[in-house]
Amino acid sequence: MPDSGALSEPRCCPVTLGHGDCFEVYLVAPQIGPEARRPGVDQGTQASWARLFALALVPGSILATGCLFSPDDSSEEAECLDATTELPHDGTFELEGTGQRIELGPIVAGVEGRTSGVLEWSQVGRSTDVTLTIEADAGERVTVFGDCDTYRGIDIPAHLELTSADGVLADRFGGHVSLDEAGRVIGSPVLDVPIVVSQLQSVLPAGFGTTPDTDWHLRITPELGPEEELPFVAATIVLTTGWTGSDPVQSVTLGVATFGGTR
Amino acid sequence: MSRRSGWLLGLTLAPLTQGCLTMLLPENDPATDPLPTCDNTPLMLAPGQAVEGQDPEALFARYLGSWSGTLTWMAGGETTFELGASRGAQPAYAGLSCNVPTSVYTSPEMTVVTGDGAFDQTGLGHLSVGLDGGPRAGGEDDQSPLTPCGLPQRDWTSALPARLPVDSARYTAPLLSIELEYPPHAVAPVSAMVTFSGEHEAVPDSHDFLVVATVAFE
Repeated sequence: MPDSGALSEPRCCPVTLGHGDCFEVYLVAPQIGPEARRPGVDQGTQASWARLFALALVPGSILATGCLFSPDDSSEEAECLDATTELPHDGTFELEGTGQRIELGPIVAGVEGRTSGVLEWSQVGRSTDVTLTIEADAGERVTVFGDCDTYRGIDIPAHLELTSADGVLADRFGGHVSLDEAGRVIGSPVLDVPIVVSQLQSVLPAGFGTTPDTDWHLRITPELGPEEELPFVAATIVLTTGWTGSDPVQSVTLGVATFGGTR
Repeated sequence: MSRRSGWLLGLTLAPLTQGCLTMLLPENDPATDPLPTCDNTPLMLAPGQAVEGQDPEALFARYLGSWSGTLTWMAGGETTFELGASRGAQPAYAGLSCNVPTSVYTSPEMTVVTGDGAFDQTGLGHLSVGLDGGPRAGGEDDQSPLTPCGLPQRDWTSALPARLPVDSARYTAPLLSIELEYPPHAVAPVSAMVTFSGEHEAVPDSHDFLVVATVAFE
């Protein structure tokens, strides 16, 4: 049983799954270096599901982490000022150096949409129709990233609603849609909302017991298309606990939704 | 704000952020900043062999024994719980850290029995003790020197699946584990947690993990 390597002791026991898993949402910094530049971005070309963006619904607090700041080797253009700004949904982002204007309306509108599919409740082997709707938050301004000659991406406050025909799911998530300059998804789209377990009783095994003081969350992980495009093609639904002192993070797979198209 | 000032702001914020630090730090250059090499290969001990003047068997003996308690299933119900750990015939090893012995460990024989028949197993565990006599556990916050090996489904009793919070038939390679909890400096567990883990058949690479039961030792 001797072993070698950084760990000095081989453990006979298989590693327990889930223990210590981190489900934090990491918002990946947009590719805002020189390689990501695409002069001449035309707003109208970004208005389709297929090319547009990406959904990165994250807790608002994540946005305050500073992850959007990223070093770029910009010594060659030190005079080009950062023009990151907040604008209304129908605003225009102007690249002063080139005179190009990027209309935000089509980009924001392109985020919105509805897709439907089938949700298989994996613990009980039952299925139901499911609908997923994305709607930009009209009450919040968007944040546009860029400088004098480059549009680098946009962060759009949005709501996502997931509804199942059997009535088990009717959840609305608040967050942000973050797109890079080419309209690709930025970050891992993970949705998390506190939930009362009794609401899920019909899709949990009969023997599923919980302690009264356990805070359960519903975590939904949508999957984008192969080119990181909307609409979502699938979503995994997991019931999970947060960190509570020394208690382990528990998680159980509740279901898998497969989306078949837009309407 | 210029690009440069933005970059500087990013650096300033870096220590305050989560998950972002790595993108801001330059990578180590092995050519100019070599890391020391350590040999951590464990050393199998011959019977009676001492480690840094310590008798491994004496270090092990403090943490061996049998304990009784009450197991409470999360799905409801209680039963008696018996845990035993004996030295067995497995060899002892010295754990090294950069060539220096820091601990001894072995695989004791362990038994787990519950009054309702859900557990009735004998197998191996892992016992690790620091040369100072304290637990030499897996992590900084892990105070458990003794860990029963996980129980794969093939080792389960027929009464066990009915006690689980999920249908184990829907899982690939489900595993039950018992994690003993020790207060600081204690040589006997005060509680334990029985957990279920596995990959749901419908979601490859999923990692479901649930507390199945808790144990309070007398």
